Amino acid sequence: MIKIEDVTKSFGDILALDHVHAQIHENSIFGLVGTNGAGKSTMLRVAAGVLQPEGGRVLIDELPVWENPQAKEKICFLPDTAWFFPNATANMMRDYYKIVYPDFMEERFDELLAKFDLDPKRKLATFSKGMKKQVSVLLGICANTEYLFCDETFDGLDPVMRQTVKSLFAAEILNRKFTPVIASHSLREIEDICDHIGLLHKGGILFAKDLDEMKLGIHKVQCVIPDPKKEEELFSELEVLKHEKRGSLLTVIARGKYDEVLARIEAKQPLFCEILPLTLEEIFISETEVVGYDIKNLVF
Amino acid sequence: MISKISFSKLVRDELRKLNWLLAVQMLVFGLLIPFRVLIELSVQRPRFFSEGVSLQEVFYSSIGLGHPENTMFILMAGVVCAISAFSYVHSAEKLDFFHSLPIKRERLFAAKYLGSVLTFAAAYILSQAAALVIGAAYGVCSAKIVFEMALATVEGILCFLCSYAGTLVAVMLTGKLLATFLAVGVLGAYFPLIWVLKIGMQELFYYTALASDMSGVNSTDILMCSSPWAFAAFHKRGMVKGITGTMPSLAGLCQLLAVAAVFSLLALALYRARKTEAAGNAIAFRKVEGIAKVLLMIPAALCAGVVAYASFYSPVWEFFFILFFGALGCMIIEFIYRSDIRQVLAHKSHMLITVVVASAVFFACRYDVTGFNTYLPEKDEVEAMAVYHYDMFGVENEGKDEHKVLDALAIEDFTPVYEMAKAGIEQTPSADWTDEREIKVKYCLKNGTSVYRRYRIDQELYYEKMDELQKQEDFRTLCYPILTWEDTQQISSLEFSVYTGDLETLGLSDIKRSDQEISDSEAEFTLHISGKDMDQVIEAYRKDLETVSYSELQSYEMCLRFYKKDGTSGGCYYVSDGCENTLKVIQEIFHRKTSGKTAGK
Repeated sequence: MIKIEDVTKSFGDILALDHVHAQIHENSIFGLVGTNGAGKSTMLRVAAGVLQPEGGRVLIDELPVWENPQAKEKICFLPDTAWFFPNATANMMRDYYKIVYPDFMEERFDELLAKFDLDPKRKLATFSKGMKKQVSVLLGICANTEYLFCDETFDGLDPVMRQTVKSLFAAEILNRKFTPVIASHSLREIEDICDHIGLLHKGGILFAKDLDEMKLGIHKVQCVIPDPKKEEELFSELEVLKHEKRGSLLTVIARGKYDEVLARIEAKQPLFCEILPLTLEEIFISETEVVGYDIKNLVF
Repeated sequence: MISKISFSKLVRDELRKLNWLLAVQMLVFGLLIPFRVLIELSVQRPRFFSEGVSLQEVFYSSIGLGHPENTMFILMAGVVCAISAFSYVHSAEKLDFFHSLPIKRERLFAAKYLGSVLTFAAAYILSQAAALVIGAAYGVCSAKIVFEMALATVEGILCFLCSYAGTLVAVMLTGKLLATFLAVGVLGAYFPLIWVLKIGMQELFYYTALASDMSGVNSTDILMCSSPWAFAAFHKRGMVKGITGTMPSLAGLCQLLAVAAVFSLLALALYRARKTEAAGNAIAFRKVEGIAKVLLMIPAALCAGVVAYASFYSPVWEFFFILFFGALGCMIIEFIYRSDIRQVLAHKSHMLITVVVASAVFFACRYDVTGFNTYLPEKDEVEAMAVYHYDMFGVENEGKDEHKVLDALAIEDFTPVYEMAKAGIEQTPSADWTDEREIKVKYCLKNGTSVYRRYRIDQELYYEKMDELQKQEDFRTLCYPILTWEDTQQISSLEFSVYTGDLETLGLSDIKRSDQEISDSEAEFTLHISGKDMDQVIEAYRKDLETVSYSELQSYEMCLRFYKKDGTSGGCYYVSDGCENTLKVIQEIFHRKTSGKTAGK
């Protein structure tokens, strides 16, 4: 487990992380979301032991990460801009990773390179941005560390590759102890892969919750209620976060237990009623409103 | 816990990444050492057969110890290797990569350090070995030359390490490549320039200080200690001469190693202390920015003040120059720091400190606030005084420090010296030296301390007071060592020379220039005297010194120059026409010699 305890980090006058607390559990995919400049990269760099925080500490399986190879050998950090040695090929990078990560999965790396159709002997400098990202992700996965910190990893990958990488993450979680931490400015990119979400805003973490847990308390319902009076009554009976009416079709996002919400709607004798899956964006609007933040304009 | 990561693998990998550096150094040192040897031997080989030119000497002069051009390239290699291996600390992307790896910074530092040092060591050792092989092929190699080559290689590697470690400190202090180059320049040149500025300001403002007080110690020693590069270039050598050059002493090699070690440890400490986010900043440590700026700009502003003093001699201009160049310098440094022209006026407090401190130092020196030039102890505080002027030829001063010369001349009845010093303090310095004399004075104070000064005084006063001193037996004894020579056997001969003067009046008009006893030189004539004649001259001169005045002695350009048996000078003593006894003896010797020669013919 990764524990982030009261971490503070500033760059000159700019406070990048302001007393951040968070916990990242094992064998789950943690998404770190936030606007540009929210502190996501700083957070990952502190957690990876690249930056030293001014206050607080980061523990990797109870070991402080700063200047501690024992803790850092459990982590592989993939920064937003993949950097490779000058004139390096994928094979050369693999050889270096083999030195610094003794449990590096060489065969799996070669196999994945072939699957991704990446030439192991071609200079990485000649690769496109997306291809470099792919090599970087493959190196990170094959480093065989327990935790993989990915900073804007999906940025630059095409949709097919994005899904492939997500599948790879899922497969790794099934096969071994593996916890990816993915920082992204886009909720849409990570909503279908993350189990836990942490929202960073202006250097502070607003919350970090289990996605399913969040989904249980909020529901999106589409229905047609012929009686306008009953429709008005429904609004007063439910904790409605958002509603929209197109013709006779009413869409309501409301907080509450699934059964309760459904029972109240059915009591209004709707002609049609259906509970729809919520997007991460919709969940976030509601959750951030709870903590007093109006981030609609910030995140989406 | 022992790391699973193999250090040797890290070093090997580093070497692989720096193979281009190895290739460049192989080329440079290959051309510099074995190729040069090959060319030299090839060119000289025909002369060996035709003119008997020694190929061994050619070989010895091309390799081994004492090649400044080799040292220069070695120092440059140190700079290039350090920057190549550690330039990643200037890149945020590279630092994200390296510092996220499960390797302690010390270990990473050590691997990169060793890797890049090995590129140099391999290139240099192979070049030296290749030169030996070429020498062996020409049949001019010997065990001694192998030893000297090995010694030169060790010395070269240590010089490289000094330069390398010094550059590493510059790399760790900065966050940009350009700033690193500037830092190398600053670290290398700052202290020598400060030293030059100090001497220049003392020369201008503390004109009563002895010249040796200004430099204090040997300037080479100062230069040597000013930076690791200077230490490597000017490190002290031993006394043993080898066949290719002077061998370095063991102490010298140990000092080189110590300097390299100290700077390497300093670089490691800076590497550990520097923040990852410092990459991209000109200076890696924010707190140092202001200090570095002020420390650089105060001497620069002082230089500007000195230039204004020399050009305008006006306090207003001097202050303006200090203000303008101090502020301008701060702005330039701020621009280097921020790379933003809009921020050049940031940190005005630094400008203020620079201008205030530089002005305070400059004007304190200019107006002699400490009273250095006007220092004159009360007479009753002084136990003895000494005076020296370069006219006092009898005083053995060759190669001696001014302090030591003055130390040997202290007299207790010092009133004339004190009055000369007092007059020197009151005299306004001028550019015209025609009627002035510069004297050096030592105050031996009753509290046990000694103070040395030099003054320019009026010529008339100088002779008046020196005449008074001449009457004192103590002064004569110290000023004219000839009076105390107990055994004149140490003197082998003397020369009596007349530079200008009326030869007839002196009774020497019948001198023939062709005479063997007389040699042409700058003098109109010179008479060589030795043996018993010389003893007679010495005795006569001693008598004359009791009566003749100092000023009178100075007015004639005749002198007795003594030579010791080892060929060194035994001093030079002026002779005037008042030296009746001396001249009489010389005339007798001279006439006897000339008449003897005539009779012989």
